[in-house]
Amino acid sequence: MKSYLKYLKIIAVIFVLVLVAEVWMVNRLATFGSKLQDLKEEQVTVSLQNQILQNQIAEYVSLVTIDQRAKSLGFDTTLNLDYHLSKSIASLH
Amino acid sequence: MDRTQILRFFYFVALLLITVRLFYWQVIKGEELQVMAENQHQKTSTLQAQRGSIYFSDGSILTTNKPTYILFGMPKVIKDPDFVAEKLTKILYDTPGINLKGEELVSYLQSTKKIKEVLSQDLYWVQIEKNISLDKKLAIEKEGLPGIGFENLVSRFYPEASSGAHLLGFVGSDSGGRPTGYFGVEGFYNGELKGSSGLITEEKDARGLPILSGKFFKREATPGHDLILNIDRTVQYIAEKKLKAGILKYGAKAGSIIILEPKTGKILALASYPNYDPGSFSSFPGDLYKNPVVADSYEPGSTFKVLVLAAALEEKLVESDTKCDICSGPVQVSGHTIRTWNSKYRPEATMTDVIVHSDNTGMVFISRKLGLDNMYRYIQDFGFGSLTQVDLQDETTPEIRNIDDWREIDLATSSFGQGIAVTSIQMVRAVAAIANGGSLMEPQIVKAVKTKDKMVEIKPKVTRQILSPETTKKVTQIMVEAVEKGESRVFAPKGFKIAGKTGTAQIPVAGHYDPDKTIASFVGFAPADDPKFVMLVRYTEPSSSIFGSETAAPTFFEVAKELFTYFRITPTE
Repeated sequence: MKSYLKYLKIIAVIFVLVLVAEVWMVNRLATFGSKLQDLKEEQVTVSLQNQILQNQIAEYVSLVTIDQRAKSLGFDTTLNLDYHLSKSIASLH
Repeated sequence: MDRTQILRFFYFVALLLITVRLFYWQVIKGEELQVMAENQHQKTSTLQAQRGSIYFSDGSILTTNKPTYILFGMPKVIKDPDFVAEKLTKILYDTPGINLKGEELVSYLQSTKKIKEVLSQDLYWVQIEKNISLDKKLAIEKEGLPGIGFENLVSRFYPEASSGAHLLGFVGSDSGGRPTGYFGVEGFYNGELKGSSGLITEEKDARGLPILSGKFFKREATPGHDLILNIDRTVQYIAEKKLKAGILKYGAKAGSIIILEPKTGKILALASYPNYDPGSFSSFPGDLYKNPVVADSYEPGSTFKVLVLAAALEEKLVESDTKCDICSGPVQVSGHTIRTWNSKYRPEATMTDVIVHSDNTGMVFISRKLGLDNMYRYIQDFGFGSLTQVDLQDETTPEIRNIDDWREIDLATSSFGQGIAVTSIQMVRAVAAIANGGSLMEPQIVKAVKTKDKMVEIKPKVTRQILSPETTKKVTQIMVEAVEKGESRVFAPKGFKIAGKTGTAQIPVAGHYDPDKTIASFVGFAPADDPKFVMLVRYTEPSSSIFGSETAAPTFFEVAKELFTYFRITPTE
């Protein structure tokens, strides 16, 4: 009888501890919302910054930009091309 | 009844009342209260769908999205508008706010005053500034200014500036404030590009932060599909550059260039001027939004002659060397006199000569051989009077009058492209049929639609077969001679076989033709034996010269020279 009561007390203590742990975990989860919100906002910001960088790359490689840079480096459009047949090039050597 | 019993009675009544009241609130009103409670601690937000991007044929970006915001203020919450205005001015206009002099100081003070006035209004919500970048938004948020917030804005980004404005269209808002494409590709493919918004419903605490263990429902936004165009970035750039230069050089009011791949109908470039900036379309007059290549009609003039000749050759009514027996002088048709453009006549002109010298009297000869029924049928077969089905939103077509309303003079004048109206896209598509062996192709801007999982290619479509390959060979040879021996021969690059035809059409004004106002055009394809491109150049009212041979033709050949290099086409002679 005494050992039966002893086991009952142990089970009761474990039960109370589990109950307290559950309440504590749920409470932690409930207040985790702020961290989750921060992570969500950071994800959105990083994704947007990624988009901005991609757009910058697109602008740098645009033909408008390349044309302007080429002109500033002294390149110009080829106005007249001389076409040579391969046998005439060989005959030059 | 003793007092105990009376008390018991009142307790019972009170208990009954409480039970009834509880029943009322928990059962009868239960659902309603639950809804109210959920509304209080459940927040539903819309997840905006990302609009699809549009790419050139090589995968480079023509337009995509950029994150921008509307900066708003809540004047009733802001206690110190001066302080807030100063802080915002420093960030928005990149000024330090101190040690400013002269114009900088004036500008700073004006900006601060403007913001302060906006924030001092007796309103709950005011827009302070639009198109705020992400960096500026983060900088403003860092200041922690009360009563200041941001709303997302859908903005498009155009790395090639206003290139392709007419073929792209722009993104505005519909009556419900939702981003919507108008004109061009943005309008035609708005359904594909817009995607669908999502929804997120979650329980939030008193501070508005999500409760992880609470109710949660999310429907993801479906991003819009991306479009890959047939437009070649380099060809588009060349066309726009040469067109702008040509407009200035020839003093034209407007102009356009369209370049097609004749075998497939793929549109490689489409440029019009004057154009607008699709990124700030509201700053431009609305009549610029329309794409002249697909929406403006004009009388094609002599460029139409090659099509009429092709019809006559197909019907075997004439051959290339058939001699015109009415070409020795002006021709009388129903009381009207048909003359050549330069009053020069060739009594034994062949059909080749008629095209090379753009002889209107020779065209009357051909039209009489064809007859009205054939002429009308071929006009329809070449696609005039009906939409080409190009995938751009604003396409229109001028009507071709009912055949019963045609008189002899109409048959005559239509043979040299006057008295009949076409659009540029109809014209270039018809000539492409000569270039590709006789098939009328459906012009296509979009090559493929890219979804999350797959790429759906849009295949070339043959509308109908109009001419036989033999006929197209003959017409091509005649058009090559028109370039080599015609009025524009001095401008043509040497060594390349180019098939083409000039056009100079007078513009009808108040019931008569104005001799000083013309549509000057040139249509052609190259290399003639295996065409890689067909192109139409058109100028409206060029002032340096009214003739297509002196305005549109040189521009055509300048573009063609660059395309030969780009496509690595070598001369054959």
